[in-house]
Amino acid sequence: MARMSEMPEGLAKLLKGLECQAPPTASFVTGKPLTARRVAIISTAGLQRRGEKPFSLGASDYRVIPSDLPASDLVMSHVSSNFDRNGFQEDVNVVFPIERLRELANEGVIGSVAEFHYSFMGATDPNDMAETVDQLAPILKNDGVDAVLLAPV
Amino acid sequence: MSGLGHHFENAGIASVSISLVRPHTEAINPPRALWVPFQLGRPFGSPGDVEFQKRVITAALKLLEADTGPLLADFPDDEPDATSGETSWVCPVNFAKPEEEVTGLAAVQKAMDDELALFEPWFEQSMARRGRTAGDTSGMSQQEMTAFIAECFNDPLPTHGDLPTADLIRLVAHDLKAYLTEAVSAQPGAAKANDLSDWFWNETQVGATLHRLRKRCLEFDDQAMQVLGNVLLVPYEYQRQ
Repeated sequence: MARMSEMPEGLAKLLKGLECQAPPTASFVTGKPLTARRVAIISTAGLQRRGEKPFSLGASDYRVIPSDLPASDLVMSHVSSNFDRNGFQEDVNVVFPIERLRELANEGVIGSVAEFHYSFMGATDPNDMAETVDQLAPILKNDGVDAVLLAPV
Repeated sequence: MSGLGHHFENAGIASVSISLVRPHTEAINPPRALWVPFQLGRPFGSPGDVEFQKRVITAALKLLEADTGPLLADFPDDEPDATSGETSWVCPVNFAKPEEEVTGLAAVQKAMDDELALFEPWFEQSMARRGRTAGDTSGMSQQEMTAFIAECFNDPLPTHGDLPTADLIRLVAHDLKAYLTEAVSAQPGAAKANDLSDWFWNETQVGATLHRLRKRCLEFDDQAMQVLGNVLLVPYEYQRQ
């Protein structure tokens, strides 16, 4: 269904019309084997704690999702209605696979799970988020994170 | 999403991205990405399917071990059980077909309140089983939400707290949809994601009211209300002319 050919016409048209450009400079960071990496999830599903300020259209700020946040406290305030939310309603791991990540750490597939994960609002131009990422990067490094799993919705 | 990958790598942190819209990822060309052929809204596959989710996340994380890039890999399998097959699910709770022409604030609110009350036992069952609701993003009580939606058909538009009205309409719509779809999916039978959305947008009073509210939004010149009416409130595939 994420195949463009299977999407409703209006949605496919909207997605095709979005400008997507690679930035002028691109880095490629290599590092330790996966078994030694500390991984954080960066979601653009507009996830937040229940009761926290909801995301608005075009927001470039982020919310902090602690690793031990109970699933019952995690809600989504993404602005769009054009994606399935029933999966998230049933199981947060469909969008925010924190339990899977924890299992992979226990099984030794990855080194460890970060203490904090982060959530952005997805429909925002990634270039508007560059400054926010620059603020976040040292915080991630202080948490020992050396790999991020980017999860859209 | 993939665009963030460049920013994280420029800041010195390795990244791998799940890709849902492949042409976007091809254009953005992030350092590492795994395209998955799943429904939008389900980047890690099917709810409750631990093994499948684990295969997806592991396939993505393995790309971190590549020494050169950029690279865009494809996950080979569709998510299991995403859509119903030939037999279509039907909500067994009977209630009057939604009236497009319910008029008057009190009647609009009552139609929604009656429907929500009908599904309350199943919402309670959902809460007992899941231990959570994905609704409750607006911070309003159910009565406040239905009153707010009804008042949107009046001038001036209602306000509540600090958030702009266009944002509130979207959050309340999301909360009401979550309430009903979580409730109905707690009933026996295997309703799939598409069944639940079809049911909500085609057969419920709340859905019918939101269809009317979408047209109401388009009466305003305000850009936030135009975007709400055209894009954000009702999914494209369910929008009525």
